[in-house]
Amino acid sequence: MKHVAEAAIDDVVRGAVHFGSGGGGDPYLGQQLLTAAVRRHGPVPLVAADEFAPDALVLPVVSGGTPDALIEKAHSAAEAETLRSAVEARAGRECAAVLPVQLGSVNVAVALVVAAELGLPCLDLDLMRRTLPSIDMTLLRLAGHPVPPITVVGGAGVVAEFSSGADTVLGELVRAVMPGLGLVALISAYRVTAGDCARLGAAGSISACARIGAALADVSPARPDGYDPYLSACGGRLVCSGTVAEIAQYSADGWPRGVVSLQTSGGYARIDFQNENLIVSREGTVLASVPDLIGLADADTGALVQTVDLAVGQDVHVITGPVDERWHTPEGLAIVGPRAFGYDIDPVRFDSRLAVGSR
Amino acid sequence: MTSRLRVGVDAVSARAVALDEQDRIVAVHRGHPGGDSPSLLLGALIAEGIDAAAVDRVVAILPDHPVSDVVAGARVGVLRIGAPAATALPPLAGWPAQLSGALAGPVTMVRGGHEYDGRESAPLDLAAVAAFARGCAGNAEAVAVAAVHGLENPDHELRAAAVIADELGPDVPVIRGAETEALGLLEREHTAVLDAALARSARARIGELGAAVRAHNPDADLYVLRGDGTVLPALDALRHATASLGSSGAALVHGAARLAGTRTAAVVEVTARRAVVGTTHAGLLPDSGLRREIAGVRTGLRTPRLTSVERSGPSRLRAVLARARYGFDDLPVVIVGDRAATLPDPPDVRVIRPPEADLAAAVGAAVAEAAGTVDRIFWQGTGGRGDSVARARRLARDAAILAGADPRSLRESPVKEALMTYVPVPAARLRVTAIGPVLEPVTP
Repeated sequence: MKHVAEAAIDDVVRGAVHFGSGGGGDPYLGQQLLTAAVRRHGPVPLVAADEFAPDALVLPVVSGGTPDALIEKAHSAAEAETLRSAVEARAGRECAAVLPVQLGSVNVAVALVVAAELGLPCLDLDLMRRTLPSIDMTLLRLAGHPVPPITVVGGAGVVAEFSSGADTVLGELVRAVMPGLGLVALISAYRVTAGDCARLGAAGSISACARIGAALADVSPARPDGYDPYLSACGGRLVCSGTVAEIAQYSADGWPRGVVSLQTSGGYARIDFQNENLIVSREGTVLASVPDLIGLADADTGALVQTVDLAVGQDVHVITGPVDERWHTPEGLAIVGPRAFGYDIDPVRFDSRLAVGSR
Repeated sequence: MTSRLRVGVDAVSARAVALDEQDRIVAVHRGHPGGDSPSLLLGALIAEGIDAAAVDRVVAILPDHPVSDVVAGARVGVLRIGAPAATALPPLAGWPAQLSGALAGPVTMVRGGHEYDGRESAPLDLAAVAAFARGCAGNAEAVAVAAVHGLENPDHELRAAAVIADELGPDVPVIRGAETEALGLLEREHTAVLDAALARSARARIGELGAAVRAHNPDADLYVLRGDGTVLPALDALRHATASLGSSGAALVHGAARLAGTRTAAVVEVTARRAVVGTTHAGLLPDSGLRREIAGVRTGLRTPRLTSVERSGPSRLRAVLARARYGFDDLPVVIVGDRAATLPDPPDVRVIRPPEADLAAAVGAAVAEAAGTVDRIFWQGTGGRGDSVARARRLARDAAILAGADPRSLRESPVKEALMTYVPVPAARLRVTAIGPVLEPVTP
């Protein structure tokens, strides 16, 4: 893909939901934000990291906060410029492109919107290759790159900067300032150059969203093989199908933890989720776990849905998809494996022979 | 002493019924689908020989407004309160261009709005509101006003609407976003804009029917059916045309169950084109979790779960039906529709094929109850979770009573709670519905 024009928006945002693993926000707002930006500023050029001088500064962008708050109070038109000015003033030079920090429906759209508003191209890559709940959970940090400096811009022109400190502490601090900003902020972190991005090599992210989103549009939910276009596009597998029997949430250690119970033809399946789906298990056997993606598709429409939006009685398919291999290394699992989220199990990659309840 | 009567008018399939106090059908009129107006159907029903003075209320299923009604609708002025927040996405900026071009009048964003915990983000810019109102004079026949976190605190919406109404007078409807109980500024704003665009045609449709009801019996109440199969008082229906979208499908599920002598059932409607499966549990249709879209624009309207199956897929229909009954082994299956006879009885299930099934939707309207739903973010900073749950339940009961429910016999759904993700804060999205029979008038 060379640019994101209006005709490609639906596919890009729909495909970004796949990387949300049940989180990352509802796609409608992202689709609307991006449509408005492209109509105002024209198509957003997509570029590769090696099209720039290695020391060119790029602008990592992530929308921080709570999806339910963002759909009430979306970003202001001034936030992008405020963020760029703060980052450039500290770095002493100009940004050449926008860098999406994570893939999810809100954050793919917001990165492209910021690029459109700033008149910059957007890099066709990202730092996570999925949605993860904290700004310190990136392949860049995994490669030894420090998280600070962090710049947080609130809707009313508030700018907060965290210039140094331990990575996980800074993640906590960013969350701590969010309530005062109304749970919505535009955030940049890491000092990144185009050379850093080229070495990272997590390329083709936005193109992958567009490709997977187009395949999702080709899903025929009523047919037994109807999900094949999507599964082959993302390398995913159907884990099980079932009816939502219960959604329970409780708040422990500050994070909301939740459990979805699914009635399947092979007994109850259980999905443990926090912000994203983390573990799917059946009768005590873990079928798939973070860091792999665990998505839920509505059986009637074929659309991927946010876990917090599930309704009891809704029929869903559980689909697991692969992530960047680096998350499966011991160092990667230390940051985003099940134990990093507080579950005392070893990570499990889905074994197709365990699929149940597929029609 | 004659029994009091309730009338259901189904303008989609051109049926009208009158029920007595025991829900027995005492009069029926079958008209011509697509041609007969609700007032014509009502007149024909009364001409069957029922006592118009005994009619307590008329509940009407109106046909869905076609998209052309929206396009040809009023020019709408749109005011969003909350700048600088949300200015990256101005009102209507992401709409299908043809639609926004056809109905957009003046569109303005002004300072104001609130935060998730009810704090004021900025004082309302009343001078800018007044300037917007003046700009609407002669350029807009209806106005939509939506504020950031307007459900949590509707104060700015109410004040702005008052300024606009003062400027433009009583003939220009001003629809507020927070009149729609939905999370999401866009969803509420879109609903308000579409309702404003349709206000004129809603007035014409409901005005004609209201005049007919008054001519037959000035004391009878008029309700329009909502998309979830519960009632909306006619005065509210003037301002919320979109609320009645999809009402015939919901009414059919309620009415088919009633005709089968139950309040809880899985209902299958079989027609030449498709089969539709829905369930009702003690008068409540399960929520699909999806928002209704109109002409490619997402609204804040919840849609009940009705699963449509093409006629080519009998095995899929069996699967859908099995899922609808999953966990409810004694749930009877009610089969209706003009091709009901082509569907064999599902095995090992109590099947009911009620007579006069073509009246199902009209009966569903006549027996419809009144409901109120709350679905918003509650901040739990002061009184904790218990207080916010109590507040949500009270708001739902209040909304049901405003819709016409008898406060003495309200039932409630369990409160659904969803915690805020990504940033731990003491706030949760709470959803609860209160529902009950419509308050009967005191008979002398």
